[in-house]
Amino acid sequence: MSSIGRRGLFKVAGATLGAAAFAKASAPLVKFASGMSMDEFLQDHYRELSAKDMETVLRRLEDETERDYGAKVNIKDVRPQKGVQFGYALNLSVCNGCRKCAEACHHENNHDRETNNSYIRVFEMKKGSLDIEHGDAHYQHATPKDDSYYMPVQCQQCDNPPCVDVCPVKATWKEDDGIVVVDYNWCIGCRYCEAACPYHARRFNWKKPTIPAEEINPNQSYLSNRIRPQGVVEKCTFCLHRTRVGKLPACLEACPTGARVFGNLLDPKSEIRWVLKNKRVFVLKEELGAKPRFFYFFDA
Amino acid sequence: MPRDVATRSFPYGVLLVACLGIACSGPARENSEPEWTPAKPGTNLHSITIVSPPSTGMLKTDAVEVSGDPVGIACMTCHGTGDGVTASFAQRSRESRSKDSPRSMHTEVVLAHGNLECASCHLADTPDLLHIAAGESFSISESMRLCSQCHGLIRTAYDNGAHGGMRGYWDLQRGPRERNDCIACHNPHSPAHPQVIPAPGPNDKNVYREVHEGSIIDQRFGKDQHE
Repeated sequence: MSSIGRRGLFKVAGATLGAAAFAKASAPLVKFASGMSMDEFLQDHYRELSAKDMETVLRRLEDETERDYGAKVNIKDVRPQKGVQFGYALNLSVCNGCRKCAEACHHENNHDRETNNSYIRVFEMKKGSLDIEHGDAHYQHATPKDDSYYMPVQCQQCDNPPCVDVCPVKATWKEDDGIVVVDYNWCIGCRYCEAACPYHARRFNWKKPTIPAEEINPNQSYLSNRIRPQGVVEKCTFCLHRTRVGKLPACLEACPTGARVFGNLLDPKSEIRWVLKNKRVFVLKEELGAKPRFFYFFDA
Repeated sequence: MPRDVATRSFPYGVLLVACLGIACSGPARENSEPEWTPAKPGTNLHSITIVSPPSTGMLKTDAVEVSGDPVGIACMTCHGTGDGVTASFAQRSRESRSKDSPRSMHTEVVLAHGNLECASCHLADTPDLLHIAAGESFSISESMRLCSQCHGLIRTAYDNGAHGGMRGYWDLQRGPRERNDCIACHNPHSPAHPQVIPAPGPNDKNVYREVHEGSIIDQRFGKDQHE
């Protein structure tokens, strides 16, 4: 038989180059996955997990939190209640811009301390304007200023959520009680949802959150306030670990002005229904058709 | 509702394993929280407690109790009936609108509430009682009735849960709620709120800088990946 011909040589060289290029190209993936256990890598989508699998996942996440943060936490899978559709309203006439809601959110939801992250941005707005694009969320002076009013903005839990539509992997969806959630272990971090949200409601975890062990809120749930991994998107869940067991959200409890009203839209006797019936409410950017469940109103 | 099969773009092999896993691991989870239904008439709901600030209806002094609250002196210690001081309360009430009126002990009271004077709200004979225009009088712990005679619309909003801070449960079938009364937040003598220093805002600018300089990407993928 003849020795390796010209054609054969090209084949071998091509294959070698191809293999090298593939190794180089996939290096980031290998590095990325190195911090991830096989269990985590093989974990199913939240909605596909059986009760037994969910139990295993929750215990694994608790162990990981103890390993990485030195805190013993209790992570639950809190499910929606039938007969409940959550709604929220905020009285702009009394909000004084104190940011207590954002601060309470920061602690309740185990946000990164360094960035002082929160699901709520309080915009300082010029009186006469409703354009949040010109609101200032970084004000640092005594409030309220005479020429300004204050508009806290968080996830509006839209009934037609653009963030859900754009997710390429279905890592975010709307639950039966109206809350839009993220499976942080399914999210690939593409940030399409962050771009699609007209309310700046979603945040990306650029870094692994840093929180001192003694400050971690141990009452956690899978879809809400467990400490999020690096590289995924997070959002307000109306504190579903609290609200799905009947409690008020942390931002409402912290509000010293009583600007916030929360409740079950299906209960005709609820506080939120009274506001919708008796106050002149509006939603932000109504023209976009996202159908928010978060309502704003002025007194009088 | 039909269940969406979640898809992911790269590890098809993993997806296959995952699908086999679903087949082996039993049915998906059901709702675990009880269904919400309106409370039937006659059902005992959890309570709503309305809290007042401590030592309401007392003159606060500089001395401090073991609990940390200021030591209070009851109104009737000075304004007791039958000793001639009571008359001076009514007199001082009329003077209370002028800045140089002697308020002696009431140093913390700055009266700036419309054109009201002391006796508009406090009963002249017994100033630890409040009175409304209809003639009825009651203790300071029921001050909300007094406020409501002028601020009726706010009271309506309050009664419907749309005014005033609260804590606890939105669902009174599952737990109690605590609410503030009017004077927990509003100083009845000078109800205009002062400005406040807000809690710190977001500190996100450093993160964006680090992202653009690449250090966060280094941390995750190694220095060579973005050169």
